[in-house]
Amino acid sequence: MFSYCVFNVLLLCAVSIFASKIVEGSQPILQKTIEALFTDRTNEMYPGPCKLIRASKRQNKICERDTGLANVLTIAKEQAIAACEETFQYDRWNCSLVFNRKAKRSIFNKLFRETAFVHALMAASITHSVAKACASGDLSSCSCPGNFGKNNTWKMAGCGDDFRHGKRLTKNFLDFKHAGNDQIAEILKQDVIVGVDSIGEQLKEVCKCHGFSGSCTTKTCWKRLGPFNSAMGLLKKHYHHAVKKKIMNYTTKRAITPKVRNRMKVERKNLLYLQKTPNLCVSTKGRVCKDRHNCATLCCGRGIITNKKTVTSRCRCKMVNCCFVQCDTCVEEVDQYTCK
Amino acid sequence: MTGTIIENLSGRKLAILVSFLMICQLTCFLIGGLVAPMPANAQTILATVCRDTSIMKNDTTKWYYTRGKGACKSVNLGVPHYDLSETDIVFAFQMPGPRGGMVLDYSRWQQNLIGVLQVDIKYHPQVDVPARSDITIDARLAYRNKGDPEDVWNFYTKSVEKRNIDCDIDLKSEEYLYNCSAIPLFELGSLFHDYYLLNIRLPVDSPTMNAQIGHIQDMWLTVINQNGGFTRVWLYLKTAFFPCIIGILVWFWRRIHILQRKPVLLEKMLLSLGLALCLLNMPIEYFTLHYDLPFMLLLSDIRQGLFYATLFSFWLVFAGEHMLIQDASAQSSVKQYWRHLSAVALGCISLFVFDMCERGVQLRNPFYSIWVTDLGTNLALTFIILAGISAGVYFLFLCYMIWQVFTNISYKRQSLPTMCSVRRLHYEGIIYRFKFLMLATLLCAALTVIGFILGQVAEGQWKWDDNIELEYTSAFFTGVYGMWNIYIFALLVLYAPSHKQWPVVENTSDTQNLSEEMEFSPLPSERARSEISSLTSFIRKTTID
Repeated sequence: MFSYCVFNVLLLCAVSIFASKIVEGSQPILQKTIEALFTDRTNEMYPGPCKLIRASKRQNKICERDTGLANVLTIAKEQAIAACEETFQYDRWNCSLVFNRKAKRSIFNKLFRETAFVHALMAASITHSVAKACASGDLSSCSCPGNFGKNNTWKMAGCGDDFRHGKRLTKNFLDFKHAGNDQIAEILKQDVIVGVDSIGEQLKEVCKCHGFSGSCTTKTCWKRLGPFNSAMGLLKKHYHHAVKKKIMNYTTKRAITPKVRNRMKVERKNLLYLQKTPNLCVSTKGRVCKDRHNCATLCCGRGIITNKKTVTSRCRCKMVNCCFVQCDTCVEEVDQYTCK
Repeated sequence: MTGTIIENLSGRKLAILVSFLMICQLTCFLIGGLVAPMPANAQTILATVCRDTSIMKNDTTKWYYTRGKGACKSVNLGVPHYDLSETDIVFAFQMPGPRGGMVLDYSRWQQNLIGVLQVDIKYHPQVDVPARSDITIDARLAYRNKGDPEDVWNFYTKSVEKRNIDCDIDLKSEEYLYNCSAIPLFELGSLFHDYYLLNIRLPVDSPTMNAQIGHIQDMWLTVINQNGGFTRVWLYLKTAFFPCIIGILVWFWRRIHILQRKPVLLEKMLLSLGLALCLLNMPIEYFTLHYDLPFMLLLSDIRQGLFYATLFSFWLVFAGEHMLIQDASAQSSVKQYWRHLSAVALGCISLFVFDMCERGVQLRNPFYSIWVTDLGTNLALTFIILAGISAGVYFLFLCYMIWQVFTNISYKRQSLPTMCSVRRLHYEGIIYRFKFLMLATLLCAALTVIGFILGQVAEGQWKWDDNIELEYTSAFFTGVYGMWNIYIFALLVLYAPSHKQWPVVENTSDTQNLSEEMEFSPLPSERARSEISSLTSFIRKTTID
């Protein structure tokens, strides 16, 4: 009886450790890639055609097929991190890798709201830069996913838009098919899709009539890729409206039931996460905040210190002829609020 | 005396013919939907910003391109450059962009190329961008063919164009972009060469030129070309229809020629309608595969315009010829309809002038557009409104005439019971078939309009299951094209003079026993003249009755 109890407790412990440490062991490429892209801020180059990350065999094959992809990934990574840091400048989580400046509390330890967001962000950024690279010709392998299995060549049937290729390549590169089908994998997959779709939602349809006498009897429309920043605004909204899911069972490797899958379909449009973010108030001391409202949130009600600070900024900008902005450098004294 | 075929055709044969035509129609629709791809394809190309280091900026032998030997060094406009002046910047677009790991080239099956420019203008708090500004574009187009060295581009055309650009912004924040309207840039009527290259500069020759457009971050060019697969299906359809219409026309003409009388107006109209369709069906697009024919867009507009003009005129004359009130003694001619037809003529001429102003001038300068200047816009709008008004007047006229015909027929119908049964049955049949054809016209027109509206509302591809997808836009085009062809085939066949003798000669009566036919010989007033269409003769006779 006693041994049975001990066994039970041990099993429970083992399982819960296993569940909380989702990133260990045979971690799917999806998580590994995104974590690597987001964590590594040094621009270290790895051997292999993908350069930016320690890529899997499959990923190396994808990179080999198109030598431009490594470059595109670098752009995607830098764009994502820059946009994230800028957007979360005045939030409690400032796009840092760890919570509360504790090296062990990585945002990738569990599936936090932030983890979900970073997955969506990276996926969105890769999709965006791939689509842009297709348009500029930097990526030459962009396929034509618009053609539906008719053995049609480009000359005969044309090509779909670049966003669709970006979406496909992102899913392919993150190895969507082998991401697994346990609860965590399903959630992460959805987060990635939310990210990709936020780029899709930013697409603007533009049409041109070119029919009889230039009338609209024939109309061709295409999707115009928006700037990444506007997708970022949408992603931040998703971050705030993310939905917390209950952990189904501790055996994370078990496939989820169709019933659960159906329930997840309802929340297709939301970011999902599993664990509550720890209280970040501890680490906001010394952070700079924007205005009264923001300071109240960021400083968790501890109050602020107001400093006078001289800031140099660009000012009196004007366009120099067509394409350049020329600005003066102004020195101003402004109030700076810092959390106590 | 002879009648037209439709009057002598039995109901069963008519049903067979109609269902056969329906099947043809459905086939046309399905060929478009299942075989042909989308009519046109759009490819978006992001400009590579090149640095023009040459001193002579007007040199049209120097080209900047993105890929291949001698490609330019790209410049990032996001960071400030102190060693660059605005005249050193060239936006280069190399068409077509690579796909599927291959260097693509244009095929002559792709027919035409339309370029639309979109400019990404970044928001700066200090820089004010007006809602509407002028942008002056120095555009140069070059071409290269397969087998040419990669660094040899041949001059095609160049132009300095001024365009309006409308910009607004929802969220005024740095790093965000203005929503700017797309700028139609060029239209090439023929896609003769394999590769094209567009170099765009933004000149600043005067202090106000290009001063108000803000900070350009990126430039995108969307190039639209017809899909080769669609051209192929379209041409094959034309190739199939062309001999048919020639054959039917020859047959029709022979039938009329055999008669002792001269062809009546309706038959002449039918003949010209057939000829117009001939012109439309002529697959001259085959020539574009071997010769550079930039006037193809204009020519196809003219061909279509001629066809529609003849069709519209035919409807008017058709309704007029069955009016029942005309002077029975006069042989009708087109001159009688000059008032009605002038609406058609005016509409067509104004559309033609507009087309010449737009696509005609584009033959000389592909970057030209009538819509960019205020004067041009007003002029174009004048012609289009004129054409619209004539179309409106025409349709009012037509509806009025058709309404008159129907009231006259129903009025005359009241006198039918006084006639003997065989004749009555026959006349009722004629009226029924006349109405049937009117309904067919209405049906065709309605189907065209409904199809068009559906295409505007619904999505491009319709899915039945995973394997069958219907390309609706193409299906609509081939469907409508096939429909009007079939409609005119049917008209030519059904309104051709019949060889069947009227039952004045008793032994030729076929299914019906028409022996008790009283007097169906021409009336005394008509006897002097030669035969005319029996339908009109019937109507005229009843008028006299």
